[in-house]
This record gives sequence, structure tokens and C-alpha cells, in this order.
Amino acid sequence: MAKQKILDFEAALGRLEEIVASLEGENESLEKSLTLFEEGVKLTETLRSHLDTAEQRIQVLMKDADGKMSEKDFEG
Amino acid sequence: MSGNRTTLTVSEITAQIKGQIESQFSRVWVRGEISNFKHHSSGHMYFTVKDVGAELRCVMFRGFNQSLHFKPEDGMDVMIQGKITVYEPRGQYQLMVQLMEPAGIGTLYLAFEALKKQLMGEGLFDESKKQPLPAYPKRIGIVTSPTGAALRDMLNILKRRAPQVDIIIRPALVQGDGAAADVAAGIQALESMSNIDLIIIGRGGGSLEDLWAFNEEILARAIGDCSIPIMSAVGHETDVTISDMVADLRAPTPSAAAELASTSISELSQTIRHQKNQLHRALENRLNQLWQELDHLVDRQSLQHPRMMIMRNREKLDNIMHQINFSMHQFLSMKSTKLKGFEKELSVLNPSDILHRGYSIAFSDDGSIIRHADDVNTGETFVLKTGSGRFSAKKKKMLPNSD
Repeated sequence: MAKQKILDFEAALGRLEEIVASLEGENESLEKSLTLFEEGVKLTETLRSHLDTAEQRIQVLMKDADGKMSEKDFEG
Repeated sequence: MSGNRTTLTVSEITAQIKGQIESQFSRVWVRGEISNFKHHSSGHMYFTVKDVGAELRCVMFRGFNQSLHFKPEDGMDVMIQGKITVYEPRGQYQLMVQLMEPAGIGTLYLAFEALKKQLMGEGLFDESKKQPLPAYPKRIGIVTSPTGAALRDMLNILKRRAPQVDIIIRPALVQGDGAAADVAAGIQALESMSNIDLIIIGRGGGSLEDLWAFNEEILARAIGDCSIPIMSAVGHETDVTISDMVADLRAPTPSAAAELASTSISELSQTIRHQKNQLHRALENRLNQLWQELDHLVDRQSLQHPRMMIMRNREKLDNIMHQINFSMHQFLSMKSTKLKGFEKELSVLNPSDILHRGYSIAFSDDGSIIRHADDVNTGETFVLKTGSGRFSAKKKKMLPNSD
């Protein structure tokens, strides 16, 4: 199983909100506005695909015989 | 004799009994065995408590019995706190129950109250100590019994609702000896993993003894010390433990904890869709605005300035050219006038004009003008030029001066 790229969802969503606010803020140049828009569209695509491909991983923290902790997939 | 007797009415004596009993037994603890227990449809509970020698009628009104942690049954040994009330119409007294717990638990109850008071004094329950829960957790750690219904419920909800969230389970004893220490160790184990955003500790419902681990100091302190936000979800909605009070958030049940812990994927999708719409609208607004700004600028003087300046300069240049042309013209016509004057003057000096007036010019044969009578020898020829034509002449002799 390919490990899903870790995405800081909160940060990405925060950035998206920031971009929308900047665009609404009336202070950006046309060029900057277009750059921001492009970045925003890319972010929404990343976020969306992150949700679309979300596959929950459940693990159990186990103590080995020698007392070391390890993670094993959970057999529910 | 009868005149000396003090006679009270039944109401009077009952009122006095009521007054004395109720003031004397306004807050008592009684221990006994429940019998004739009845939970009325009104919500109130009626029963008696008894021991080998006596019975006491009891009522526990709905408002009080809702906070019971157990289900009272006939034959159960209980500790009751309440006050004695007298019901005058029937001449009966009863115990109005405010608190009731299984008799064995009395010491636990006291321990609970003592620990609660101590930890509150230390500020462990303070709002300022509460950490905010992450809005979008990526990895949730759960400390609970691996075989309990609580874990199953939480996993079901998280799988359906938030498949984007990974889960790591730290199996733990949740009741009996060592349970509190094990849950505390579980919290520490999860905390030592770097990527856990939120920890849920909890278990399903049970008796007060079953839940007791969540009222122990070792666990309370582990929760208080944990740098990762902790949600406590112990038993049913009515069960409130010390863990619940120390935790950053108390969930009424494990299922509720799973719901509270995660933003649902459908909500997230909606948020993203909303943000995308906002993004498009914002850009459109921005573009419209820029257009408007541009239109506005075009109308403004500052932008027109260069064009105006060119026009103005061109006008100036035209004027200058005009002026130069005019001056030149003036100059030329002045010169031409002067020239005509000269011409006139010149024509006055023209010798041919003089000849027309009757004068003649005498030229010697070598072509020079004869100005003196001596310039020509006697007998020599010379030429006379008149106003119209010339002829040859000869000097015959000298004449005396006429003047």
C-alpha cells in the first residue's frame, strides 16, 4: 500500500482561506491576484483529492517481549 | 381538673411534631436495605429502607434520582442522605432522599469529593488549562479496552464519518487494579509519538466501581500533564468522572467523542467546495474592480496629461510658426518698400532724365566725359549725347567765360 502523502489539512485550508481573503481585500495587483487564484485552485484540488483517496489506517500500539513499543495493523 | 388541662388539637400537636422533627433531622445519613421499591411513572421513586428492628418510608423525587449512578433494587444495602418530613394529613413521617449510593461505595464517594476538591484547588480544572481541540485531526490516539463496545462504537463512527483520519489504539485496562496507571501510561505512550493530534480516553458504561479508574489521581495528573489535547469519554451521559473534569473536553459517551473528535468528510468536502466558490467569486470581483479602477483612471486628468501636453505644445508650435511667417513677411515687405524708394531716388539720378530736360553730355573720342573746355583741343572732334541720339562735333575756338 502506497503511503499517502501527509497533508497538513488544517494549514492547507487555512492558506486557502487566506488567499480568498487577499483576493477580497482589494489590495493585490492583477498579476498577484491571478497568481493567488491559481494557487487557490491548486489547493482546492489537492484538498479534494486528499479526501477522495482517504483510506483510514488503524493501528495498535503493542509492547514487544523486550518491552519496546511497536505499531501493528489493527485486526478489528 | 379539666380546667387545668392544656388541650391541643390534632393539627396543633402534629404541627409541633413536624416542626421539631424536621428541624432536628434536616440532614441525616441513614443506612439500610431497600424494600418495596417502586419507580413511579411520574419519575419519583417510593420505597422503604429497613433493618432488623425498623422501617423508614422514603421518597426520592425525580429531580434527585436522575443523578443516581446505579439502579436501586429491593434487598440492596444503601447509604441515603436526606431529611425527615412529616406529612400532616396522614400523620406520617418519611425520609426525603437527596443522595443515595450503594453502601459499599461510601468511602469511594468521599475519596472522589476529596480528590475533586484538591485538584480544583490546584487549578487542574481551570478553563485556562484547556487546550483547544484540533479542527482537522490527522491522527487520533485512543486509550481504551481493545475488546470493549466503546472502541467498536468509536471505530465505526470514525470509519464512516472521517476516513481521512488515521487511528492508533493503545490497549489499556479500564477497570480493576492498575487500570488508572495503565490508562495514564497509555496517554504517555501516545504523547511520546510525535504525530498524534488528539487523544481519546474512555470506556463504556458500568457501575461506579467499574468506572473508578477514571476517578484516580494518577490518571487525573497524567491527563493534566499531557501536551496533546485529551478528550474524556467515560460511561453514560450521567457519569461524570475526575478524568472528565481534567480533560480538555468531556464527551458524554465514547460515540459522542468520536463525533466530536472529527470533522466529517462530507463537511470538509462542503467547506472545500465553498472555498472554491469563494475563490472564483473573489477573483471575479477583483477583476471587475480592476476594470473599474482602470476606467476611472482613464477618466482622470493625470492620465490625460501627456496627451494634453502634446496637444498644447503642438498649438504653441503652430503659433510660433505663424508668428515667424508673419515676421518674415513683414520683414520682406519692409525691405521691398525700401527698395522701391531707392529705385525712385535712383531714377532721379539717371542721367538720361537730365538729357531729356535739354542737357547734353560731351564725350571725348576716347569715351571720357569732357568736364573742362581744356579737355578738348581746338580743332579736335568730340561726341555730344542728347536726350535722344548723339552726334559728332568739332571745337572751333575758345570762347570767353559767359558768367
